[in-house]
Amino acid sequence: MNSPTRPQARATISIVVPVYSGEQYLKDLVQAVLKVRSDLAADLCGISIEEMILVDDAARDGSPTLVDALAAEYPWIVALHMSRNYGQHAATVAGILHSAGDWVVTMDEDLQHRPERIMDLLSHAVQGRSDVVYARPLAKVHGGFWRDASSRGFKRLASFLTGDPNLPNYNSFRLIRGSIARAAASVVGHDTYFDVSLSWFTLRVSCLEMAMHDGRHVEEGKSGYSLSSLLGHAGRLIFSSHLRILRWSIFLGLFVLLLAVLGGVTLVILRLTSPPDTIVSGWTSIAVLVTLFSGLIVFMLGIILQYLSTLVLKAHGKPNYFIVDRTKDDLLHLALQSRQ
Amino acid sequence: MKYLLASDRPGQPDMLVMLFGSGTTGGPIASALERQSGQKMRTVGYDWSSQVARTDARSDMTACVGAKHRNRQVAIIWSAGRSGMGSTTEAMDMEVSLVRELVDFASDLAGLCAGVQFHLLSSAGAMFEGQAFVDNSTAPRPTRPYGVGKLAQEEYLLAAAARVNGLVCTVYRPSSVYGFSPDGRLGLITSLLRNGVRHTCTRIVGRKETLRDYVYSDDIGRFVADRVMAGALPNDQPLLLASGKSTTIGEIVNEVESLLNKPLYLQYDPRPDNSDPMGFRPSAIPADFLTTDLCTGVRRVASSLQASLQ
Repeated sequence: MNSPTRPQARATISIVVPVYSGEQYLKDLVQAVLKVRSDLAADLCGISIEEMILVDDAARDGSPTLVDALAAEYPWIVALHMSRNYGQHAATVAGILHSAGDWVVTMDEDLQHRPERIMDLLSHAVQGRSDVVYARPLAKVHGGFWRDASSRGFKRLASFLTGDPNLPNYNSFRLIRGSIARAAASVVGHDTYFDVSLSWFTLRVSCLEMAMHDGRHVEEGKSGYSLSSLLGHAGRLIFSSHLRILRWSIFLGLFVLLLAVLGGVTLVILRLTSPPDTIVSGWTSIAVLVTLFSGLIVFMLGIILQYLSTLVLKAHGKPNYFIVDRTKDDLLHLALQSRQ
Repeated sequence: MKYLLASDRPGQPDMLVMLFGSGTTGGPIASALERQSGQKMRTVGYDWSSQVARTDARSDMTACVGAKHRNRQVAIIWSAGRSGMGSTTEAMDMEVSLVRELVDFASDLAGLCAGVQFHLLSSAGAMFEGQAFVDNSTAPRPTRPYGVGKLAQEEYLLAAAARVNGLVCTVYRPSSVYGFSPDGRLGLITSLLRNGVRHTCTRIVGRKETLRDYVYSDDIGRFVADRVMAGALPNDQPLLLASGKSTTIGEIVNEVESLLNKPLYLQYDPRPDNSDPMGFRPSAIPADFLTTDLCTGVRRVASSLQASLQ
């Protein structure tokens, strides 16, 4: 119990859960969240789980009915039904846009992500002054070598291409500062990866290692994602990021142009100084023209790509600025410390 | 003041409906009443600025009801008032006195006809400013004269309904209402649209991340008209008219910019007293209150605005 002199923090948490085939897990998930919620209420620490938003993404089992039943039983559960299947990211974004908490937690429906770890994520965020905390699995999540290895490998490649060091840490179990979550969700387009749009609003991102186990994948031997949907995810991740290679394209073009000029000068000198029968007539002119114009074309293409990437990012909703209020974090930090 | 007579409705009582206030909320109520009754609302003068004129008008109406409408139910709807979050205590006192006049008027009519319903449009925003996750057990905590005045209106009405035989009441608490009315107050969304079209600056009191629950005025109009025309029974607790979805000001701005396809000129006034989030649990909202999604609602307001500018 808190002592009467404990400073009163006030922080509300919204939980967002996209639901696609969660009929056999949802009740247990809700019970687990209810336990955490009750413990927080009993602790009088000023932190509360105020809502759990279940987003039915045109679920393929009995989840929609179950979602409505849970919402009718618990006033703090909100049921949202998508008009058709839009995918986990879209469902997550929809749920976030319906949230009102100071902090938003997104998690999967199948208890791969334990609600008991939510407060650990919050503590980690406040202590580390982070706006986003991703859960990082301690060991293999899916129980399959190729599935886990390909996921890791792709994320590392994408991180190199985009220059985003946090990309390998993206995970659907995340805690996000509420204002930033809603701002990022409000600008994300249907081709934008939500975590990429988060990176437009904050660079204060950290990770917390924890055990995660995709029991459904291990038991059923299949993922909720087909190969095509995974590839779609990968594509969206790459193309909603600002590729470093686009920034390099202008320099590449300049480099090629410089090479072309130097090469052209060299060829002219060789032509003038070499015996007349050692170089085919007309070859030097053609070579100089081809290299010069190739260099110019690459350089111009680089400029066009740079403009295009700026327009695309603008279309994706990248903001000029965003203002955040972190003034309550110190009080929250004290409340969390006292609770421990 | 507008009124209409609804008669010859199978299974439903004949009614005389009086509507005080035809602005952003009252306008849609009037339209919905006309649609449901098949009758046109007629306008009668009611001078808000002259107490003597108002007293005379109410006397005339009382005499008329006593003489011609003894067998009808009378429904009085208050959706007037020009006050808002920035109103002074004096302005709210004036509005409270206007409501009290009408509640007393309703009390007088209760003995002259087949029963009087008083429908009071209050304000959830005024009651629950700075409170998120409001449900039916949340106590109002008004912090400004606007909220204090609205609560006083509700209390006066409830006390009268408890005291006067034949008078029943329903209190509605709409959240942040948006819609277009030529005579109504412009809210955030309508202001953004109008100023966006005119290339002028909109001053926003709040922050981009400030949360509010926006509800379309036509939805309120339809809901209130349904209750009025059904001869609704009184409710013990006020009815919260909200969408259950909190929306940030930033999201509204993005929506309007996307619709107008141009950036908006904005000035943010991030006053701390207007930046706290406010939201309502879906479980607290009447199950039969159907809301228009924000995207569609904004577009409908834009269409109305565009038509008015032509």
